Amino acid sequence: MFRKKKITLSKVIVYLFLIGVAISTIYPVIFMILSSFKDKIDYMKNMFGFPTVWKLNNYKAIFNSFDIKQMMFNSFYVTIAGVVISLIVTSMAAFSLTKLKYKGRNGIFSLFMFVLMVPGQALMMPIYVIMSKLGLVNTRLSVILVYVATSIAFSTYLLCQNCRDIPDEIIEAARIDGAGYPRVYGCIIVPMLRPTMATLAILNFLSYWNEIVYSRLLLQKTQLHTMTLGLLTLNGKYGTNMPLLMSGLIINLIPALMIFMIFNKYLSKGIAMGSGK
Amino acid sequence: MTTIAKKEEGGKRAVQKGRNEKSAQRIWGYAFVAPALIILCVFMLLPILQIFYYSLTNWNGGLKSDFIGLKNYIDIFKNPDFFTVLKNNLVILLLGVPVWTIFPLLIAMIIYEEIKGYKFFKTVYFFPSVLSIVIVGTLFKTFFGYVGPVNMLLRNMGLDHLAIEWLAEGRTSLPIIVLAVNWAGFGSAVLIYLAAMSAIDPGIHEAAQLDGANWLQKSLYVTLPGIKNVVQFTIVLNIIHAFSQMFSYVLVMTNGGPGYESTVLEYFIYLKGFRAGDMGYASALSVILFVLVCVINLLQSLIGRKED
Repeated sequence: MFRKKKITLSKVIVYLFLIGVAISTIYPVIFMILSSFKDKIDYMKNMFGFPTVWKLNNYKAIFNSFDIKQMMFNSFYVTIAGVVISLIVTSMAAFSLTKLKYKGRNGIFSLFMFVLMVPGQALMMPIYVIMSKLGLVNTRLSVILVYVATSIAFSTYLLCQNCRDIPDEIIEAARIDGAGYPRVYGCIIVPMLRPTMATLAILNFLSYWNEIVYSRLLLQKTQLHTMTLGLLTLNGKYGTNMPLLMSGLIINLIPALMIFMIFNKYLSKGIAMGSGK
Repeated sequence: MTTIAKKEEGGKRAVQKGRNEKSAQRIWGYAFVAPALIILCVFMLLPILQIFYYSLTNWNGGLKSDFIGLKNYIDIFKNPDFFTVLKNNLVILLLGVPVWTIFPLLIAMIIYEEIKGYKFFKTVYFFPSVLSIVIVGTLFKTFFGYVGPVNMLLRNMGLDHLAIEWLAEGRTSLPIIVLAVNWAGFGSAVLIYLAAMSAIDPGIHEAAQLDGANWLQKSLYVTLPGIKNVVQFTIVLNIIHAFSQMFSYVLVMTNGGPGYESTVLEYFIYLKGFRAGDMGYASALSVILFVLVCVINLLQSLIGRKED
């Protein structure tokens, strides 16, 4: 039978709404890209159009004023180290808190939940002092530790939710077969937590990469600056030069965007795997 | 066969209740939770305790730290700027939480029906979540600047009187910050809602459809109750965000200005602690911030429980 698809008014309105929202997310980026290739005069006269002359001046200026290579290195180093450490530490904790029984377990779990409510940024002062005393100010390790610490509660919580769903029978079976708990962790828990861990890896990567408060506080030497910190500096120094600012945003955007695209494929596979249970 | 089964049963029981098993769980339980716990204690709990302690002193960040009891708190409540700051937080809370919760929910409910192009929308909506707050803040600052695109558009449409310096007044800068936060975050909220919706048994949806329910009825009576927990969790998270994630936006977009018109509590703590050097005062402010968040969380969970 031939079925005509109804084009109702409500459907049209809904689509217009969705497309409108989509435009609001895409257009600013297009604006950024186009503006970054204009010089200041062109930008003021021709804000919305394509550049009359496509100029690379802004990008050249930024590469000249900032050691982009060093900043990229710092950002990647700090972010990847943080993500790896966080994944290991939180998955171990989730395993312990949901599948192993010992005295004080509930108390420790409540501690994690309590910390969830605490805004990490309010702890700037004591953390600075602690890092000072540990001699870690102006080291990359300091921000790595802070990033891991401020995201531990949430990551552990998410992993606990997932870990609880792992059937106890599988663990028991492995134990009967003589597996030690480290083995159980490595061969059973970790593989089953993979979808959540992938999600956390992406979320943590983005949040560490984009972090500004503690990197500003703890990474004072210019050679330790991350890409995001560099952008803040740019904002402060050349805030009125819009096209220059836009090119800074674009440079900053690209690594995060690439990681996003790489993980996006893996993520949709992961979510599909998780819901296919 | 029975002997083997019996042996397995015996083995199972041994594993479940044996002394070795108990101590194995204990040892590994502590071992596995230790790294996370240590990091948590040293870099989160210890600072929290220190903040409580320093709030009762006149610590200046250096060596001076005399106990002054509740003087900081008294000074805070005598300070009119403090109440301006609280008001700003309230504005963001009351504007932000509904917007940040409902806008993505609406979109998720529409997209959930797997309309044409939903994958495209999902990706496009999530894209801003990838950007750092510095990028988002700078973008909005540029767009809403006096000579920015928004004003240019308004002037072209003849609405000159609306083309104001948006970020120069607390009245307009706070809503714009709320807008920026929404723009940056609604995509990930949509994904979270969609993930929760996919956990709902499709059988219920089909039954409702057979009963003749249209999209609105299905959404309100099937989808929404089905993801109630996630929505509640999102509300709580948004409330916490309204108090703890605004710092970077304020830093990039308005610097709290003019005066204290767009200063939020987080930023106020930063100003008093790092700019003015009065860390004791700033610590007391932090304690007030913690208490505020705890109280609101408590209220929210009580209300939530009542509805059950």
